[in-house]
Amino acid sequence: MWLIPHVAAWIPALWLGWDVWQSGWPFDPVADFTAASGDAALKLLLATLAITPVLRFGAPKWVAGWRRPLGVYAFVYVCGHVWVYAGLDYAWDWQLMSANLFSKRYLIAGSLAALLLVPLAMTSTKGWQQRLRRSWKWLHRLVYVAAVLVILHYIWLVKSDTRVPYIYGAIVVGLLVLRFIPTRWLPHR
Amino acid sequence: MQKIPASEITPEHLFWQRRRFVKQLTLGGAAMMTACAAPEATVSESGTETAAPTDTASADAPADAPTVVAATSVPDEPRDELGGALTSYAAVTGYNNYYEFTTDKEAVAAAASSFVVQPWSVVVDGMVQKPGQFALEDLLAIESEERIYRLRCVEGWSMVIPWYGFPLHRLLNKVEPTADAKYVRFETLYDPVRMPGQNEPWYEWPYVEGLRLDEAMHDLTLIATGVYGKELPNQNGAPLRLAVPWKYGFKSIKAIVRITLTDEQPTSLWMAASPTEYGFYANVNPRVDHPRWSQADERRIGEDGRRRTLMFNGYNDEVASLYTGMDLRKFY
Repeated sequence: MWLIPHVAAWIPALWLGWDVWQSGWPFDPVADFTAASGDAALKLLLATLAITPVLRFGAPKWVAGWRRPLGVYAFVYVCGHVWVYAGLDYAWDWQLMSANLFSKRYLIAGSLAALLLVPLAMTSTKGWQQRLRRSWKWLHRLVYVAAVLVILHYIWLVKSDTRVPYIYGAIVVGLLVLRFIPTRWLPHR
Repeated sequence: MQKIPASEITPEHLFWQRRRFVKQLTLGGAAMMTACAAPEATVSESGTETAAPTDTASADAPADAPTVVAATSVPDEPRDELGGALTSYAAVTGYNNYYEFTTDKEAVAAAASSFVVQPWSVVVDGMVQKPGQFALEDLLAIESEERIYRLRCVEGWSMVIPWYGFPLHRLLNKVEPTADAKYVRFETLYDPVRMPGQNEPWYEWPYVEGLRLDEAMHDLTLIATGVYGKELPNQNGAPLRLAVPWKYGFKSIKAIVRITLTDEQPTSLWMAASPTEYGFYANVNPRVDHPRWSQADERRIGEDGRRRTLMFNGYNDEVASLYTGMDLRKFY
């Protein structure tokens, strides 16, 4: 059972590898890898946000144990996403990057979201949970802020067709709403 | 599929040989020009226009034939006039923005493979003395040549493509635009059965584009009927498309069925889709960003890293004079 989040998290990477194996190296690998890593990170982030609602709706308790690995994997894909952008795309050219990073809102939103996930990933262990106690809960509520920033990042970077990012946005809103539905409205456990 | 007459297709070995011949001619021509102490056509990264807040174009550059200067480094390898290598045939024909078929760039070739381009004709009408309907054969018979152009997509990637075709002015001169004509409007085929992407309600089909008349009459503005010495593949806009190399790629409309001379500025598909982001002029300009992204740099397909975007995509000397005194930030 504990294997499931790990297997699920590897699927996007394996899928990309299989695609490259089948269709050959893409013509714009940077664009494809940026999109693939961002998409995987977003899906895993949504999965972590879905754990509490799913538990509230009667999922078995051990599902809670999936949240940490899913969150850490989301962070790993975010690191990959940032590396493709800064290392592969811009070849660490800070001059070129800094011209945009502080002025283009999709980059501001994306950078903030990525930065917010860093303390969350670092304090994801049980050790830190015990050390911080109540502060840990407050700190990890930042994931909601990160999720909203990610959706804005996505909406602001697409060429014209905003349907997919808006659907993801609706999912985020839905998942957040589900955490606050009064307990008596939930299906009987 | 309508075939180009065999006499028009350059056999591949001649394709490469011809380039060497042209190179020798232009080397000789360039030598003569330097002997006459002609000013060097420098293309600086920031362009030659004034750095005023209103971002106006240079007043100096002549608006005549493109500067065909041969590259001197590798003699046998074809390059553009700035020394950039050609983008591979595989990439040119395998990485396409052609939403009429699919929005997946690498899936267009397969999606367009069954598209039939015969019979095909182009209506040329509007404010002209001699409107007409031109069969594809007639258009392919217009005197054509190879042109190596850069193509810069608004998304931030670019290619170097060896088109084959004729400058649009050869066609427009046949129909004799009247004095009232100010713009040229282009229209793609509208057939949601053959072009299933046109069922997509997000965009207003068919694809429409436009140029100012002087832009349309410029020698750089090409009607391309072939690429890499071969017939134009479906995914590249067969049987004929526009290539306006100093503007963002979306101006280079594909699968043209109608050309209309008009006095009203045409509204293109992208202008209608997002008016604050995609304008009529769409000149490549590293100092006028897209509202949400930068246009200062680009990724050349097939290369690593990024390169700085050039003013008018490197065609500043040829076209800057078309926009003298114009605020390129306002007229994006």
